[in-house]
Amino acid sequence: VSSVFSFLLAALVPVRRREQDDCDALVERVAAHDRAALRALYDALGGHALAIARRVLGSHGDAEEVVQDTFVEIWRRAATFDRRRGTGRAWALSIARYRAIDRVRERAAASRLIDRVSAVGDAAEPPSPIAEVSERELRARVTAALAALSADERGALELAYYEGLSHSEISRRLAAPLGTIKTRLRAAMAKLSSLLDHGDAP
Amino acid sequence: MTCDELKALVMEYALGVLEPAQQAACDAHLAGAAHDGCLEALRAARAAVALIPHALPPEAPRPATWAAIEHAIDAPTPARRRRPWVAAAGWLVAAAAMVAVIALWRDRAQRVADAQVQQAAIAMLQRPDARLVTLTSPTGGDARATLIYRPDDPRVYLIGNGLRPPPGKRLQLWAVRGERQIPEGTLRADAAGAVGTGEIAAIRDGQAIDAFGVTVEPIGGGGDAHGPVMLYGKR
Repeated sequence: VSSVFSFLLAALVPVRRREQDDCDALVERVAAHDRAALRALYDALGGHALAIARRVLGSHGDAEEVVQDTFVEIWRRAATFDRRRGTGRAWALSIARYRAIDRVRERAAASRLIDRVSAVGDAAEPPSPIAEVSERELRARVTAALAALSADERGALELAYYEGLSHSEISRRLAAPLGTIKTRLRAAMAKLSSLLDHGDAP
Repeated sequence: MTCDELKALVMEYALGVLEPAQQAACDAHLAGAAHDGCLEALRAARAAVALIPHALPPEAPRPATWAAIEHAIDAPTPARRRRPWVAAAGWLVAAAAMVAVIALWRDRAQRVADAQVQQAAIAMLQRPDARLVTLTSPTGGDARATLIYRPDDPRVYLIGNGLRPPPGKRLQLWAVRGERQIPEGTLRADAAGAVGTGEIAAIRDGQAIDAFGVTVEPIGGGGDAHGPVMLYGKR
């Protein structure tokens, strides 16, 4: 019985220590200006940073530049990282996330200015083809967890994460009551958190 | 805010969806020294938020991206300028009035030239490698502009307001690198002072630029001495 139990547990616990790169330690080494650590962090997270940037920017900018800016910022700000307050992975990816969101907002502001001067055409470009895939397993589990959310929960979560909207902004965007949005987001985050319950945070 | 209140909000705090006042209350609580499980909850919440993008397939960045990162971190870290640029933007109001007068009298040739600059600015903005920097008046004046540039191209465009020099003056572009302020080309604006253009050779030369500025200079003046700062913005 116990072996069945441990088999089940292993299957249910997606983010186990063995699957983790130790991004906490890498960021701390980057703080000491260890270039090899920056490269290791880039190898571990550069692909995720690019995926985030491409998802946030869509056709509105160069996602590779966001990755570049992200890792330069990681190099310069690593000394501010505090592992008690977040994982190295979360810290680094949040820089990519906000760099990309800021760029979309800057561009929107400039576009509004330009609209005053002249009509602007649509500069849509096809997204680049998907490149190399890694960490398939983690992705499969996160994808499954997100797929298990209701469409409403997922929609609210994606507006929050990829567009950086607040509760009230999401409520306006989706024309749904504020309380409903809060409930959806809490439910979505609780389901995601359950992925981490049995393992150390990545 | 108590530790329990923080822990009730920590997931939404980590996701960034709280309204500014709530977000600030959480920041203030977390800045304190003593906590009852807050930091552990924060770390767990941030780890959960960081899972969200793991549903996206990661993509290998181009080799040039790592090369650019190495190049950037080899450049001197931007340092705060010891002496902030001395600024006096009182003439801005006069410049705005001047713009209105000029706008009334501009001729057809001017309008054609203006349209060309506007179209070129839009064309650059639509390029995927366009970069934007917000420039504001360091003295709190109304002047504001968005500077558009792209790597390897010395041309820059500014879109904003009040981009006309006062009579007898010209607007000078600057690139700021660490402690160095590098004089660049003259900013030529349309009659409305809404769209301007000029050249910054430091961009074409691939130099790391920390900030951009616009100063008001006497016509014919040159050298390193520079007049009041009208606009300034960090990359």
